[in-house]
Amino acid sequence: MIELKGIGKKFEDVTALADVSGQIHEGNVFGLVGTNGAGKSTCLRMMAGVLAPDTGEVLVDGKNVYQDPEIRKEVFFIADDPYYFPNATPGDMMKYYAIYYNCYDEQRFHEMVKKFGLEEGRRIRTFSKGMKKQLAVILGICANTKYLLCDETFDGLDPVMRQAVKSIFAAEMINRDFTPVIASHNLRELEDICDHVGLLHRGGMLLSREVEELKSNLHRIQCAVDETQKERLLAALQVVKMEQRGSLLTLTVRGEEQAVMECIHQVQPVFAELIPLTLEEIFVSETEVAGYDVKDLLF
Amino acid sequence: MTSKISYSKMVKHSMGQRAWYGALLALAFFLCFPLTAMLEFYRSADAMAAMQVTDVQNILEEMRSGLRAFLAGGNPLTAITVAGGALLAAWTGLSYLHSSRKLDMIHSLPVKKEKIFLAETTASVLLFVIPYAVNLALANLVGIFRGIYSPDLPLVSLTALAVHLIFFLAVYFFAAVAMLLTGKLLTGILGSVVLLVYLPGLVQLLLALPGMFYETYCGTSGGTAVVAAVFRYLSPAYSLAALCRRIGMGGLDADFWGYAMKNQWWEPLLCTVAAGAAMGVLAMWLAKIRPSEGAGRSLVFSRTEGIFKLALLPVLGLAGGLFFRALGDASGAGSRDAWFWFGVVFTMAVCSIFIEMIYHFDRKHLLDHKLCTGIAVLVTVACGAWFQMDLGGFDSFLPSKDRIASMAVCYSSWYGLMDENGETENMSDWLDENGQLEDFAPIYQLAQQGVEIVKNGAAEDTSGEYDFATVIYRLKNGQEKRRYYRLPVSGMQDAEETLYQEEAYRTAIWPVLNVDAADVGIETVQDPGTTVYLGQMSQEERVQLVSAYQKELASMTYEQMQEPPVALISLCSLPGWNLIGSDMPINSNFTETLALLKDRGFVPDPEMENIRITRITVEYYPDYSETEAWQTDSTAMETVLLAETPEDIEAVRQNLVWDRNYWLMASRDKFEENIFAYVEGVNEQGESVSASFGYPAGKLPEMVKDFFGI
Repeated sequence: MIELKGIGKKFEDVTALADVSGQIHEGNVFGLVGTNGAGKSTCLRMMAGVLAPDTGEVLVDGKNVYQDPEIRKEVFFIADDPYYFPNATPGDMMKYYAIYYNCYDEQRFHEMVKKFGLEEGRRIRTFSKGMKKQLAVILGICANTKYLLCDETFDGLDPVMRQAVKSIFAAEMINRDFTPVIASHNLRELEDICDHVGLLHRGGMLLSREVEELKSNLHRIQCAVDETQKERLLAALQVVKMEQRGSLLTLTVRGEEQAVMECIHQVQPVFAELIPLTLEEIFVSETEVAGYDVKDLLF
Repeated sequence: MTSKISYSKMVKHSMGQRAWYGALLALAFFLCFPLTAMLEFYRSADAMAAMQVTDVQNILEEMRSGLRAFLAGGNPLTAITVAGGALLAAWTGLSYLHSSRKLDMIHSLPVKKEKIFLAETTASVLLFVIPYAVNLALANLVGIFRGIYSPDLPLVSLTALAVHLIFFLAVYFFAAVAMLLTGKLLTGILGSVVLLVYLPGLVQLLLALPGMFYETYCGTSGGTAVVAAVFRYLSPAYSLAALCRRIGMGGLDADFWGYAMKNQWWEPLLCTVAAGAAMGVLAMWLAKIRPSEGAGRSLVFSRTEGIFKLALLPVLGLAGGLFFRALGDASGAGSRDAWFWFGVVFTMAVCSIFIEMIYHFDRKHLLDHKLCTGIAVLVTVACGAWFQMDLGGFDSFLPSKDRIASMAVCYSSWYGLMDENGETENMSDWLDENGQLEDFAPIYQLAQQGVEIVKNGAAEDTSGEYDFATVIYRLKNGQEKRRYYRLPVSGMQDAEETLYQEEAYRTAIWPVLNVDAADVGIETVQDPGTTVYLGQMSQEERVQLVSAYQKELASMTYEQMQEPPVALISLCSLPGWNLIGSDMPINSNFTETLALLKDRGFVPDPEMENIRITRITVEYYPDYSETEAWQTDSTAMETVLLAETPEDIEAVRQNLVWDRNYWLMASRDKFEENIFAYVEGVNEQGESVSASFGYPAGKLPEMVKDFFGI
């Protein structure tokens, strides 16, 4: 488990992170979302042991990741713009990482490079941005670390590759103790892969929830009810947001799906339909409740 | 999970990444050793052939000496390669510290930061040692193939390698500290230069300031000299230069071991080891605590910005002030003090802005660190005012007699008596050690006159005849002070006459009297027309001659000293052949010495009677005075009298005396001060000879008087 205990970081006069706490449990795919400058990269660098928090500490499996290099054998960090040595080939980089990660799976590396269609002997500087990202993921996966920290890794991957990477992550999670942490400014990229999402804004963690929990507890309903029943319906539901266009009501409500639908049926609507919410919409709703105009934050 | 990371693989990887650096060093060391050695062989062989040397053993020994000198690394090219290689190693090996992309990768690896630094350092050392050793081996092979090999060469090679490795590491750690303190390559490079030259620069400034402002300042001595030397040597850049100079001074004839020992090679080496070790420890600590986010900033630790500025600004400001003061002096415009303060203000303003520019690369921050700048200005003003106004009373220093344990005096005319090249003792140091007199009344009186002259601004007073002397005070509290006074010649003569009666003084002013005759070498004996080299005398003959000379010199009276010598002798201390008596007088009453010299075929001819004089040039300087001799240019000379006919020569030659008794004041006013004669002729062997003569006071020939209208 990765634990963030009240971490804070300032760069000169700019506060990048302020008192951020949270936990990343094993076996989850953790999505860290936020706008540019929200502190995602800083947070990941702290989890990787690159940066020391000014306040608080980051614990990986109970050990301070900055102070204890030994625990960093369980963490592999893929930066948003990964560095490769000048004139290095994928094979050279693999050999370099193999010096530091004792469980480096070289055989797997060769296989994956082939599968992804990358040339092992080609100089990385001739690769496209997407190919470099693919290589970074392969290098990270083959390090066989427990935690893989990906900073904007999916940005730049084409949809096919994105799916391929997701499949690899899924397979890894099945086969071994593997916990990817993916930072992105784009919620849509994380929606179908993350189990848990944390939202960073202005250096603080706005919320951190299980995706399923978020999805099962928040619903959007379109319905048409008699005007006399409207007040009764609104009183019975935990309405987060309401829009009315003529007699058509669009409600965002909190609660169990079954209980919500029962409430609606009790007022005998002319028409009622449960519309699935995207993760993005859930975040909009949740953070608006928290008093933030999330549209300004994320989109 | 707990298995160890292979350190050797880390080092190997770093070396692989910087293979180009190793190749570059290999090329440089190839130039330094095998190639230069081969060229030197050819040069030696050509030189020997040109000199028609046929002794093969002599040629081989000459070449062997040449090879030994090159293997010892006592040439500037090797020193530059070592220092440059170390800087390049630090700048390239630690460049990852200045890139946040690289640090994201490297600092996320499961290894301690200091271990990474250590691996880079090890790689740098190997990349230095391997090409060095290979080329050294090649140079040895060249020696073997040329047939001039000797068994001591591998030891010389290894010693040179060890010494240069120490310097490499010291320079490397200085540059490493700079790289660790900075987050940009430019500031890293500038920081390396600052760290390497700051202390020698500071010492130079602290020596230059009193030299510029104090009239009685005469350089460092005693404790000050030691502190200055230590400060200088704490910079490997200075130490390396000093060591190479010491090794190299022996030239091709240098015996590496003997020569190095004689010149105390361990001084710069020891200081370098200490400074390098301190910097190494500091670098390791910085590598541990240096935050990764420092990459991209000029200085990683923002607090050091002010410290560096505070340390640099006063030094730069005062140096600028001195530069502008010298500029004002040269141009002759305005007062020197005004130029000095203008230089201080101008340099500090420019440097302050430049430093902030380097820190921030942002014009909005050009006036940052106001407090530090303010303190720096105060320090600079206080320091400048201290020297300019002599707030410490340096020039007026005259302790009461009861505070003084002993005193010594060294007249400026004695400075050339001994070697003074920075490596060996000079005359004032010699007298400090050997000429301290507890009965110092005459010297104290001189000092009083000197202080009085400074107080009254007599530097501008050119009336009368003046000369300079260094007075050395040893105080009862153990301190030593030196002052350089401008003094009237008459006062100096009086003091000298009194002091010369003391045997202790007489012995002290002739260093040769303090050395065992067996340890004195004779370089030359000369009269106006002949110089004889006596280096080839047998030891027995040499000791006999030196002993006789020592005895006669020691018993020479002050009155005898005033007579012009008939010949001059130059003596050196053995085995180093350091001059301990240049052009020492042999008077006509040195009968035993002259007899021994006669046995060697040397009979002095002080009046050039055996020379066929072909021309005498008499020069007259109407405005000449001793104190202003340096200011006299050729235009001040009224005219020149050329005597070329036998009649003219005879007329001008009257009363001419070979005035070569430099060392005592006694004969100073015995000669005409502003008329000099240059005599040229041909000796019995048909060789051209020439010498300078003078006229005793009041004994100018009529022809000279008439010609110059005196």
